[in-house]
Amino acid sequence: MLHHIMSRAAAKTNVRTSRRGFLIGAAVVSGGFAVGFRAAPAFAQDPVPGPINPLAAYIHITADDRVTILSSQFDMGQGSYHGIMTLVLEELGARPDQTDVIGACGNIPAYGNAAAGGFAQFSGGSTSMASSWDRYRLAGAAAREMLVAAAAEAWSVPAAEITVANGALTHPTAGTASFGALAEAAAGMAIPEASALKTEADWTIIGKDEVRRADSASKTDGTHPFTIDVALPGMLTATMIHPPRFGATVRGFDATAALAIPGVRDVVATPRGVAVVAENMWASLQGRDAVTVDWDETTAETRGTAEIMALYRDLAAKSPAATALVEGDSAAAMSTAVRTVEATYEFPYLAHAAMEPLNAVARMNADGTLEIWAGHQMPDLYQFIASEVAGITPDKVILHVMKTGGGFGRRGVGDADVIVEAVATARAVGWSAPVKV
Amino acid sequence: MPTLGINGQSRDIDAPDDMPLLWALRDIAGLTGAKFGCGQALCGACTVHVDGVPTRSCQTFIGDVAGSEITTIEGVTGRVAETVQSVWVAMDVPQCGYFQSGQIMSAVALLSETPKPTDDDIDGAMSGNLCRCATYHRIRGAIHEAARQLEA
Repeated sequence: MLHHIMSRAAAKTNVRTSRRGFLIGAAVVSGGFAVGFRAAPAFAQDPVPGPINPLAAYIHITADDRVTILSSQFDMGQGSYHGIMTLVLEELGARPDQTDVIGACGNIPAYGNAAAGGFAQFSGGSTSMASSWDRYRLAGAAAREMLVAAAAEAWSVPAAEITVANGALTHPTAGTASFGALAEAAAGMAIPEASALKTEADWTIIGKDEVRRADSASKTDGTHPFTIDVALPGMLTATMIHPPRFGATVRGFDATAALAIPGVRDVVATPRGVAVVAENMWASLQGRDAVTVDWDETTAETRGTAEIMALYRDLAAKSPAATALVEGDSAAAMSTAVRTVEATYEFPYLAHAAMEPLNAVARMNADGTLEIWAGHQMPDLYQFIASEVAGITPDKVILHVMKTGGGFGRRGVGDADVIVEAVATARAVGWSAPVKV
Repeated sequence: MPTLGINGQSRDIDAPDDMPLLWALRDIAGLTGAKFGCGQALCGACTVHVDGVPTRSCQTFIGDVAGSEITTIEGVTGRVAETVQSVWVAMDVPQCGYFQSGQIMSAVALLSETPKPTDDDIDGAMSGNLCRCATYHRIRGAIHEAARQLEA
């Protein structure tokens, strides 16, 4: 059992190290996606110098008394939105029934993964709650203090005499006010430098069953909106013909038969393959089967599974191997072991097999902004890559972070594959319509 | 242009007869509760009722179900459906939720036919509905709980 736990710890260390290595590498290559270019997603605060205002970056309270928590962590079904909601509610004192959670991005100081150094926003390696544990409890506590300060000012009473519960502030003589009534004033109050957090003995929400997942109902009656359900006026649906080998490019294609199929609007080349653009998914799927593509495999990966596995074996046999964990003197312990067990583990190239297919919707707006709906697991990177593909600046790219039908790591990829496909296809049809891939 | 009965309403679907019912529902009728997973009737995400029988809509041509009564997650009603859905929420069955529409349509059909299903009955009726989040244990528990409530 101990060995199992240690293996897990080692594996986790590797995951974090490799992802960090990748992201730093990507930052160098791309010249600065990680250094906070101005971003303009729908629900985010531009990075500004100074302390982060919790009522701008993490918790939006509106006059209609709705509380919206902005989650830095992507929810692919694992329940990160719910976990973060419990952290905020524990300290804030809002009611669950007035609270929603949405995905946020575009502000690395606020949303960078705190469990991995905070240099970039991403969800992965089971770090979402570790990243959020202090951040969102402190945000809830600071927001509560700002609401209290606003009430104290409005009522001319000492803040210490005000209590907060069930989405309302109460003073023995001054009366009571809803969060919504005080929201605007609270957002302008001084941002607390340090807020005291509840101790475990006082928790009523964290680790308890009283607050339930807010999305169970919509995931039970068919109304929960996934990316595949996004419908925009005039939207076209595209399916991709990917190359048979990674890295192959399109030399040419014959779309004559596909274009004769009712509903097929266009067939276009993209950097990731050929896209069949149609009025609906069925026409697109039929069109995809009718296109013949001439692939250029000059730059393609040509090795097969057996050759790649042989390469891995060769690399693994070479010394020195990377050390994941050192604890005690294992060499000495092994030399005196009564019995030794050796095993070699080989893992094939696996499909993550998230049940909602990889998908994204891209729409270029008249004002020059590009909106992208998708499971943005690494949003800042995707924003940057999308801007490159679209030929615009990153501040014009607006990401809508959708909850997705699974992910299992597959929606966090360094080349932003399906995002590129949606943007490149929309661009290839002259931005004439929103495109869902 | 086939005419389909969808959730109690007669609708003319402006699409070829060989369009799968799933895409007619999602892209023509605007009913997106049934999901696309594999497109080969292997995963159950697209399950709807055709004349009360759970059916994989991705492999059902609309020309073949003209005149049939189709029920989707948006239109499923009655005591069994309401009980299943309320138990699903009470027991927090969904995680990502993407395949739950299909799970519920299969569960409603099972309980309508077999009010007191055994574990084997459940496995038999639900084996065509995948869940990559592996909520199977909660699905089985929720079906038993729904059966218990429906019996009461």
